[in-house]
Amino acid sequence: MLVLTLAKTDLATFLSAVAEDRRLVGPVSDRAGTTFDEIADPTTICLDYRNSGLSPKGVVFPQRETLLVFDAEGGTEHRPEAPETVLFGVRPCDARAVSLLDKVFTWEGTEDPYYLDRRRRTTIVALACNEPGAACFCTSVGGDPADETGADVLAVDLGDKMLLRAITERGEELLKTAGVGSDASEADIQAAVKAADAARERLPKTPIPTDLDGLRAIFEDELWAQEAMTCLGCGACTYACPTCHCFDITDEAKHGAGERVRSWDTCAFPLFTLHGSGHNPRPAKDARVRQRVLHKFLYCPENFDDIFCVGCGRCVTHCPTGIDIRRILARVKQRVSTA
Amino acid sequence: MSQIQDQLRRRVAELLDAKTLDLFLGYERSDLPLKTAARFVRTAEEAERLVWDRTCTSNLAALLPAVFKKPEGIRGEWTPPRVGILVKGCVSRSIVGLIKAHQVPRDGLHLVGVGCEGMIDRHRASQLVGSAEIAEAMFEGDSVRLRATDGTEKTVAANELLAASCAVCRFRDAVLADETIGDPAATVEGADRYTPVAAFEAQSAQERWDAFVAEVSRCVRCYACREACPNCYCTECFAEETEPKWIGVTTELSDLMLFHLGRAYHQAGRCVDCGACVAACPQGIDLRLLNQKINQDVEALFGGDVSLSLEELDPLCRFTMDDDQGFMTEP
Repeated sequence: MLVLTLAKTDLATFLSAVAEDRRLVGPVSDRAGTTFDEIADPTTICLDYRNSGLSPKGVVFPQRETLLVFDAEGGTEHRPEAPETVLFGVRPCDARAVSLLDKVFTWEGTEDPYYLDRRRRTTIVALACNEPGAACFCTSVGGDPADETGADVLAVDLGDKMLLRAITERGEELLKTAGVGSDASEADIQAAVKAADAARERLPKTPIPTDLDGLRAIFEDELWAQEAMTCLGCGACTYACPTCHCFDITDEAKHGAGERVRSWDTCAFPLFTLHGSGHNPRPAKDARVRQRVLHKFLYCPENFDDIFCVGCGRCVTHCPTGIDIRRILARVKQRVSTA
Repeated sequence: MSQIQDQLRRRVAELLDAKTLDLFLGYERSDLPLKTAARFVRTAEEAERLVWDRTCTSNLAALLPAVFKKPEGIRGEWTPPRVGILVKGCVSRSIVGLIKAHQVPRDGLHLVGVGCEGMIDRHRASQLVGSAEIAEAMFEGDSVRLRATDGTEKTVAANELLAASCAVCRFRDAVLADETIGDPAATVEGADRYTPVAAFEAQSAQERWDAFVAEVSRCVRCYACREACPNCYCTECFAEETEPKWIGVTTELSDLMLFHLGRAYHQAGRCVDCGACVAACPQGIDLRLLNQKINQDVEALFGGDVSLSLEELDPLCRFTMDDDQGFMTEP
C-alpha cells in the first residue's frame, strides 16, 4: 500500500484537493476543546489536539436523523443520498469505534440502510497519537496510539511533515486523487514507528475484566449499587462515547404532518426502559450503571466478539461527579477474580 | 487547606465510628487533574479518602434526594440512612431549598460546613496550556502550577481561574450547618454578579437572538445540567413528559430552545448560582446567563436572596402588599 510523506506546508493543498468533490469533516478549535465540523477552509483544521470533546461518531450516526416523512395520506421513506465524505484527523480510538459501530448496524445480516449509506461514502483518515491525553487508556482495551482499525489512511504527525499510510483500497484511492506528497523515505517510516512507541510507553495500563462467565456471575453484586450512588443519571458519558449507539425513534408531528425521527438515546435515562404499563425493568441507577458497563464489557463481547470501549477517556473527562470507568473496571475485575 | 482536610477526615471517621452516621458524602481525588469525584464513605478507613481543596466543584446536594428514597424491591418498613455531607456555601443553600421543598429530611442530615475560597474552572485552566491537556495540577499557597501533557509548566494565581459563579459568590460559608470545620471564608466585596447579563442586554435584539441560537445549538440533550442541579428533582421533567408532550426529544433548534428556556424558568426563585450546571455541561454552554437574568429579575421584583434559611420564606413563596404587580394587565 501507498505510503506518502506530505510537507505540512502542502497540507492545505492536499485537503483542498480532497475536498474538491467531497465533504471534508475535521477537528476545529472550539471553546469546549476540539470539535468535529465541516471544513470549508482547510487552514481552519486543527490537528494539534489530544482528543475532541464529543466523538466524531455523529458523522456516520447523527444525533438526529429523519427516517420518513408523513402526512394524513401516508408516509415516504426519507433517505437522501449521503454525501461522499472524508473524515480527516480522527484519533485511532475513534476510527476503531466506527469499525465497532459497523458491527452493530450490520448485526446478524440485518443491515441498517441509513447508517450504511453514510458509512459506505465515508473515508476515514486517522491521526496517530504522539501524545496521549490525560484520560486515555486505549492500549488497555486493545487499541493503540497508531491503531489502523477502522481507518482508510493512517496519518502520523512528524513535526514539519506528515506520513500518510494507506490502509485500504479506498484510502489509497484518496491519496492518489489528492496527488500531493511524495513516496515516504525509510527514515520517515521509522520516525513514525518511534513516535508510536513513545506514545505507547506513556499510556497507563488499566485492569480490564475479560472473564465473561465471571461478569455474568456478578450481575447481582452489591458493587453496582455502590458505584451508582454518585451517578447523576445524565447522558454525558454515553453521548460523548464513540461506541454508544442506542437510539430512540419518535414521531415529531405538527399540523397534520411530521417526521419519524431517530435520535440518540441512553441507558442512563430511566425513560429508556420505562414500559407503557409504568413498569421499569431497570428501576434504579444501579441497574443502569451496570447496564452501561456490562453492555460494553460483557454483552458486546458476547454478540460482536469485541469490547465496546476504545479507551478514549471521554466519559471520565465529562462525568460531572467524577465517576471513572477505569476505577469501576478495576473493582469489577477484582470482584470477578475473588467471586 | 490540608489542615481542614485532616480535620475533616478525623471528624468523619469519628461520626462513622460512633455510628452517629451511616454515610458521609464528600469529595475524593480523581485520576484527572483539577477534578474531584463525589464520594460516599461508610467507614473510618474510607474517610481517609476525603479531600477538600479548590477542585471540589460539584454540588453534592444533587445526590441527596435519591439517598432518602426507599429502594424499589424493598417491602415493608425501611429506615433511611443517617447521612452526613460536607457543605460549602452553595451546597448548604441548595440543601436549605431541598429541605423546604420536602425533598430531603432535615433530621436525617448532618451538615459539616466548610468555608470555601471558590472553585477552579477546569476549562479556563485548560485554555492556559494551549492545545495540550493538563497532566498535573499542584497547589502552592494561593497559586496553582499546571504541568501540561507536552511537558510545559505554568504557574497562575488560583483566583484567576475561578468559576464564574465562585468569583462573585457572597455566601462562601454554610448558611446551615450542624458543625463547621476551619475558619470562615473571606468575603467577596464589590463584585457585580449580573455583569454578564448587562453585557448581553446591551446588545441589539438580533445579536442577542444570534447568541442565544449559537449557545443552545451546542446542546446534545444529555441533561447533565439538569441532573447536576439540586433543584431539578422533578420525578418527571417537562422535557420528557409524553402526555402532554411539551417538546420533542430531538436536537431540533426549537426543542433545544424550549428545553433551555423551560429549565431556566423552572429555576426562578430557586437558583442559588452554584454553577453546577455550567461545570457539568460537556459542551461548554453558558447556562448561567439565563439563570442569572432570572435571578436578577426575582431580586428586583420580589427582593432578597433565596434559600438562606429554613425559617424565612423565599421570594416567590411569600406575598406582600407591595409586591410588584406590573406584569398584571387590566381586563
